[in-house]
Amino acid sequence: MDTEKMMNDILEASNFAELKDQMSDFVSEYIRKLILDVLMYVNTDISVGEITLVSEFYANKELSQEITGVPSAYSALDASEDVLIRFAADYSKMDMNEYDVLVKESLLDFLNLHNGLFVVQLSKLNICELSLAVPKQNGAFLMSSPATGKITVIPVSFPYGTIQFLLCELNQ
Amino acid sequence: MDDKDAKFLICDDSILARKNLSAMLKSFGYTNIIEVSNGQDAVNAYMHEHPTVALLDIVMPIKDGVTATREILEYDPKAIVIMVSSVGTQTNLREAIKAGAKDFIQKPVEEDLLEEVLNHVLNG
Repeated sequence: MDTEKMMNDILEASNFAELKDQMSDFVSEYIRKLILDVLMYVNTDISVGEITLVSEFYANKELSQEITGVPSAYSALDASEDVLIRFAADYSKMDMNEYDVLVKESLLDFLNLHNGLFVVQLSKLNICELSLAVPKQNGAFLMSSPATGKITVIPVSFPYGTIQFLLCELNQ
Repeated sequence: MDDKDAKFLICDDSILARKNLSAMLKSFGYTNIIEVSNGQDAVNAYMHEHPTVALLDIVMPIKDGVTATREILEYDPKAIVIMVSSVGTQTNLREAIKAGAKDFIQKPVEEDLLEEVLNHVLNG
């Protein structure tokens, strides 16, 4: 099946269209590319839950990467350890059973791959030239949105659980 | 020199990326592989090990891949450096070539493309 069509079908079944007016083009394109990259490189058996715009988000772990330039943004992902291990194994196609260095590296590798492909797409379309900061991993943290915007929470459900992908524009 | 004797330097802060690149090189028959995780270590490793080909990521801690490429080329103008990155934007492509990189491979790395690029740089 055509990946682009799958992505459109998955987003149509979510509240993506209802929220589009409240999102910048940058955020809506990020979500479309995220679903495409998950379909391409992780798993095709996915659905997108209710996308929300929040002022604060408490994450169990900080697995994040900043997109730098104008606009710049903070991206991250969060889930329970069990789900993170399964997602990392699904992406890396390796056996993983505990939340160790290789799991964390695989999660950040996916974030870096997706963010990279997203900024390449913007560059190819001559929209803007962005870059990426080195991915970060830390313990639990409270993410607060800047005064200018909200944190977009994109829950992507897999057969083994849900990963919350987060995006927050830092300037526009 | 038989090109299977070539020595490779892989520089990427992602363990997974290093593991994947290393597995691909081994599947091509190359066994002499050094791995490091940041640009500064890549420059140091290049000076000590004199690899035939250096495969460098761009976004890395301590020293990025473009700066490391520039320093490697200053040390050895004949160095063969190939950038391997997820951030193949027009700016990064320009910067990489300006720094002296021989080629740029967009992640995720396709095995066929890597083999083709290596054949080109090793055998002309």
